[in-house]
Amino acid sequence: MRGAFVALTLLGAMHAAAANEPIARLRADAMLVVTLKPDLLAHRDVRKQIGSGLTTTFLVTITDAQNRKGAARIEVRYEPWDEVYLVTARGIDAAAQRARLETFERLAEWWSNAALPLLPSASAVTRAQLTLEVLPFSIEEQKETQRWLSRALGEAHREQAMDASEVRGTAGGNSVLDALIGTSIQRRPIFRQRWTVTVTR
Amino acid sequence: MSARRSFLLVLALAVLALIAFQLFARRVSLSSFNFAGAREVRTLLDASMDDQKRLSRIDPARGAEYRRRFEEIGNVTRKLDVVALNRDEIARRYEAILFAVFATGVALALVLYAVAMRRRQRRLARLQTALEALSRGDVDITIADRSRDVIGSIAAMIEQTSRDIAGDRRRLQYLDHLAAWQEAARRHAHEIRTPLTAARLEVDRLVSTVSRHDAALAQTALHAQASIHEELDRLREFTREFTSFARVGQPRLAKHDLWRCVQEFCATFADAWAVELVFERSPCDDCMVLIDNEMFRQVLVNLCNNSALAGATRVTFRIGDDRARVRLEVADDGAGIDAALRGRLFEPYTTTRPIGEGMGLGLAISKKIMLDHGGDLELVENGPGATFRVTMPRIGASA
Repeated sequence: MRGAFVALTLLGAMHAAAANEPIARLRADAMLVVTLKPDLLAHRDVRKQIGSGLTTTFLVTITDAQNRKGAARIEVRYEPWDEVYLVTARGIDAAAQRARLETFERLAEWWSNAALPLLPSASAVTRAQLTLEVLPFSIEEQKETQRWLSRALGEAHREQAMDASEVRGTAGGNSVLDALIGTSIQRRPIFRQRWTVTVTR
Repeated sequence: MSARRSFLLVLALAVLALIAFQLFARRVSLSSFNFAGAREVRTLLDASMDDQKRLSRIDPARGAEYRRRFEEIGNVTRKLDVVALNRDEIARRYEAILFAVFATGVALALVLYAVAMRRRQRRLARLQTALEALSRGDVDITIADRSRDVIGSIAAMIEQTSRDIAGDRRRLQYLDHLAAWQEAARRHAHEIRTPLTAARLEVDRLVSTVSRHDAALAQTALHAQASIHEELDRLREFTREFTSFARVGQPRLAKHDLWRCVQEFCATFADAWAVELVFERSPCDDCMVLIDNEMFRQVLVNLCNNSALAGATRVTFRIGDDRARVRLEVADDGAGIDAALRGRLFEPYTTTRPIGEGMGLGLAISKKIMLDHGGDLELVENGPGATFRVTMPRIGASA
């Protein structure tokens, strides 16, 4: 009974992975490009994060049989004033694709058509390992929050020190706070998936 | 409880404290960082942003201002979102830092405790060694623990006890030694006195016979009789001193104020020697002692007599005390004691005076008297002059 449950769970996971498996194809210029499935956007955590107003980063990395690596990323940020999705995609060629999309459906449509250049000179590549990580906010937002929190907690600490007439030691307290904030506020993936994809020509 | 078990108990308590602290810290830290994800805050911020948008539609002229406010609120919202996403990690790190600080404190306390326990064990081991030595009968034990805690007090008591035992042994040894001398003196006195009496009677009888038969020789015989009597008297005096040494009895103790006794002595014997007797009264709250006043006076007489014979012009009496004993120092400005004599000063027949001018029994008798009082007589300073210390137990003191 227990074995059957585990087998069913594994089968379900495999089916889900297969359903949103990206499409990898070789362009005429021997660049390996990847198109992600819009099913990913429908994932509960991803959908929620995209609508948060923070810059959600989709980081795609590829490793071929020769252990060559490539990477691309898509940044999606919902702009609540204009109520639009601002999207920027950058492949290994560093060329940026930008889009301003009014609805989630338009975003999904754009997503379905976006081809991310991942690995140049890939004419010999037939299969590759693909990894997708969804990061909940950008590095700028991370730094900004670290500074903000450090300043806010530092001021609270200074106020306490002033109340207790203990101005000395404030710097030490701040350095501990900075270390705490600096090491704890980090971009950690909220979603991660790995596929082995077959390159189509 | 052994030190090892005690340490393990403290260690277990420290571990329990750490677990309790960790549970407490988790509750506190999680609730502290919950503000970022608080539903009420988020709802208010969202509502405020919606308000700014509506306001900009109602009042387009101030649209830029509403937009700026909207962006500001949005900025804060986004930061709170970032914090909320990292809430668990922040709480974990915060707990880790607190735990590390607390654990360091506990570890430090444990190390200090272990060091203190080890030191205590070493000190107790030294006490044990000292007590074993004391039980074996060793004396003059030194532990060298001057702490003011219980162990230090016990160490001081052991040292004091060993010193007391050493003192008692010396006293007993001296008294045994003196008893042998007394017995010898008693026998000598007896052996001399018996023929002395017979000799005196025979001389008297001889002189009487000669005087009756020959008037011419009578004068010569009487002269010879006087001369023989004089020598016999000297021998009698000699045996009397022997006898008095042999008959030094046990003191009959009575309660006396030492200060008053010394004062009376100075007044009574003021003209006994060509020496000024000075009584320096020093602070002594309670100078009540148990002494045989007559014997005590004999001690003072002996000391003053020696001072006078040593050429002193002044003898000073000073009273001091400690918790157990009362001390009377008798200091003179005489010639002092010959250093060669110092080691056997209190042995019988020790004297620097010419033969025939003293038996050298005064200090031996005086020391015996004071030892029989439970006190002592010692030479404490020598040159210039000599200072003797007479000690006697204070009334009520255990030692």
